[in-house]
Amino acid sequence: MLERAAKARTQMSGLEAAAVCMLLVITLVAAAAPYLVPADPVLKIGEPYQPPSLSYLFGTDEIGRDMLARMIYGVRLTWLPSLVIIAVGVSVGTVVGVAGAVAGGVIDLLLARLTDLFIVIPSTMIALAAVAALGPGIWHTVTAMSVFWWPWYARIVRSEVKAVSGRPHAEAARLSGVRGPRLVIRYLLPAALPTVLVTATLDVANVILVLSLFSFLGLGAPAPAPELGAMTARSLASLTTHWWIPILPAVAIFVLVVTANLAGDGLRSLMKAV
Amino acid sequence: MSPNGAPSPVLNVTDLSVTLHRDGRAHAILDRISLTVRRGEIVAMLGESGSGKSTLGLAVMGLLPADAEPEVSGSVAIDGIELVGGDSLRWRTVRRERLGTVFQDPIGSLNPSLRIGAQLSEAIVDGTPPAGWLERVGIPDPESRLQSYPHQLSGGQCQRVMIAMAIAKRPGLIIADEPTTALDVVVQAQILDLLRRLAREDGIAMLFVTHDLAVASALADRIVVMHAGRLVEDGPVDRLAKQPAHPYTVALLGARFGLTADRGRQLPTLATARETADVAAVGCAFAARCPLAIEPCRTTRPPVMPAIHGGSVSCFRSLDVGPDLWAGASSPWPESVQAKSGLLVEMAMVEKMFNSPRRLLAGPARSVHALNKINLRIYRGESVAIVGSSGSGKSTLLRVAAGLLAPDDGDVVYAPGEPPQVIFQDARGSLTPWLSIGEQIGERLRPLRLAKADRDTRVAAALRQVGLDPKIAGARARDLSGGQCQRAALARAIVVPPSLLLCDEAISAMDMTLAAAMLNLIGTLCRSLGMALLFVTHDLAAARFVADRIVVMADGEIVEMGEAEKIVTAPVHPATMALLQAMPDRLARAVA
Repeated sequence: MLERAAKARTQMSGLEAAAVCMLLVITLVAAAAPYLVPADPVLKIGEPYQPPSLSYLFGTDEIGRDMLARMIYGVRLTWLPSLVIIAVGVSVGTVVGVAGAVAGGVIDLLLARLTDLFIVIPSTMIALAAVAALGPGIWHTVTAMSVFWWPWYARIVRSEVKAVSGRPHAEAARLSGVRGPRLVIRYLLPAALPTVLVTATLDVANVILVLSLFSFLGLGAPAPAPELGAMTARSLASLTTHWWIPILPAVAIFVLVVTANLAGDGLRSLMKAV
Repeated sequence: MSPNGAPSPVLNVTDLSVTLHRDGRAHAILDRISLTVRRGEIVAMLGESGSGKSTLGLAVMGLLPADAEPEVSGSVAIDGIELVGGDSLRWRTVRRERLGTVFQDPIGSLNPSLRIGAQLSEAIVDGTPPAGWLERVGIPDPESRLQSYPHQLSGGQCQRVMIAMAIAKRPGLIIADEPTTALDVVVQAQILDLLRRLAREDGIAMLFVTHDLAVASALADRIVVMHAGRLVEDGPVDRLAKQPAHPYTVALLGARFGLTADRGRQLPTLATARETADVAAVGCAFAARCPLAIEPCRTTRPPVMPAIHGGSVSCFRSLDVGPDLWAGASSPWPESVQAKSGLLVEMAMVEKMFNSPRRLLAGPARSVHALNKINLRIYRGESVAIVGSSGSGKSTLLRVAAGLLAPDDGDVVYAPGEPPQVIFQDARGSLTPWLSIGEQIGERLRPLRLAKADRDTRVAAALRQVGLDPKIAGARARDLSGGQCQRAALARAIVVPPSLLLCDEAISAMDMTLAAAMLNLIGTLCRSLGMALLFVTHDLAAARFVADRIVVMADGEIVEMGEAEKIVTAPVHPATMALLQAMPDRLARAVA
């Protein structure tokens, strides 16, 4: 009775709603980048080291390329791979987690230990080594990271599904004759969805940072491609003389990470209401 | 209470109104409540779910949920200190120094990461040793218990610790909100006895919130009855129980099923239970449910007037209220469509062990016999109750019978037919939160491969059978009240009638009026659909009312089995006697 009286209202705050909208806009911009950019991001279009002005909104870089165009492509090269990595991670993790939780016994034990194995090995280091061996390139990076990005999701899904399958509503569903994939998809998996979704949005920040790290180390998209981490890394030397060249991409990473985090918080409060 | 002259009031509530907001709408929860609790007096506040009794408790403690934007008017004074309009510091000071609280969920109310001793020491004001307080509340080996964490104690022991913390403050007033509802009957009896004894010894006043009239009369000096946010009756416990002056109180008394309720008919119940706590703007809030209602009842709020039992009542017709007021509200059972013959389920030598978790360095894992060589037969159309205190293995037996749990040894053999269905204690939890009620009921119709329209018709029919509006098919569990959830679960169970319906403490969490209505419904459906019933409960009165046969369990074994009436009138096994002894109406008699 007391609990019912104290039931909290659950809503997204204005800031969180704005972040979710912003993330959608960012995704659209990234997808439509070729049609949006004012100039080719890899071609010289003017004098080098032009500060931001009306003709070049974000200025030009050290060889005279348009910074705005490079930033828009940079978001595309950072944001879309992050989405792919997370989507692969969530999908593989969900399959492994559900398989373990539902099968139980030896299969569960093997899958759980496999998950543990992938968690304990220093995944970033191995991914770095793998990309170094395959040669730099954004899709090599995406592949290498996707291989290591599922175990956390597998763990979350496994424990949520296991917990929920012992609850009365799942038992009632079994007694109603629901079996197999229908039981999993309609009665068990939705319980794991809020946690997975929230973890995924918060995870975006991690993926972006690791991707930027790869680019920073020269293992991401190769040289002329405008990747945000790489842009910051290569132009650090001009920080004191031409601040916009390293700072603007860094700000873009910062905005992406903060927006993704806020949107994650927003989705979490929305999920609680369901 | 001192014999000459009334002692001074500890709690003085005058014209208290509380409005809470939910989803942007204002709900008037309490409407001009006036109530006095004097030093050393135990007052039980009685009412159905949604009557506002918990809100009154919260309002007195200053713990109304802030996100409901409470609007409070009137006055709450503790020891003469006015609290309404006071700042949070004044509330905190009063809560710390003058107010003890005991809640419904004892395990949840203790901090799981602190030892009992540390938590108790915080409450002690006079430097007395904490072990002494544990001893007073009847916890054995208090010195070593101080080192325990809450999870190492049983629910009953946790509640004793909460009580120790409440009295160690040496408060003037204890507010207890349903403190025994979550406990089994035997433990409930001990806790009630403890509360009464301590309040008497220390002269503490107590406001005891409950929906259980038997509990109220076992404990209190005075009963106040709440209905729809108003106090409708207030009187001394024994005289009020004999001569209730408000028709609602008579209804509460009637809905209470003791060991002598007439099994041949349904329990008398109120026509419609209120689902919301909104109070009627004008007139008497009970008028819509009252058989005595006259014109002024609908237009004028009845004033507080003296009642025949020496207390007060708010009713224009109180002089016409008699004990047989609701006699017409009890209907006969429908004809049973299934003859009580033919073996349905046979459990033979069923065993189930549970391993208690192995602790590091604590020796080998221990196994507990949850079920020990159980032999039980259930016949078609028959109704069997399984009774026992918590830990007796009765729920495990039900889960094995339902096929939710595989026995370690022995056989469970079913006659062919629709497999059994279960009604769980946690009705809301037994409904999937993200699916609509209709989808979940329809799930059982899937094997029939009906067209969608036919399926919807069957779902609507099932909902109507359990007394719900078919529109509920589109709702989710969170939109329903607890009673509606239990009915929806019942609709799912009977949309294709099973040969056996299993109920696991299905009414334990309900208040008396809801429980009576539920028992009537289960009894009616079993008879009209020809289902056998296995009813697991700790309440012998409910068992006797609903069942033909009662099976008593203790420590994983069946210790007594027989005709229902015989088990309650002439018990043989000590476990049965202990259950009978713990029934609150027995306690009431012992006090009187």
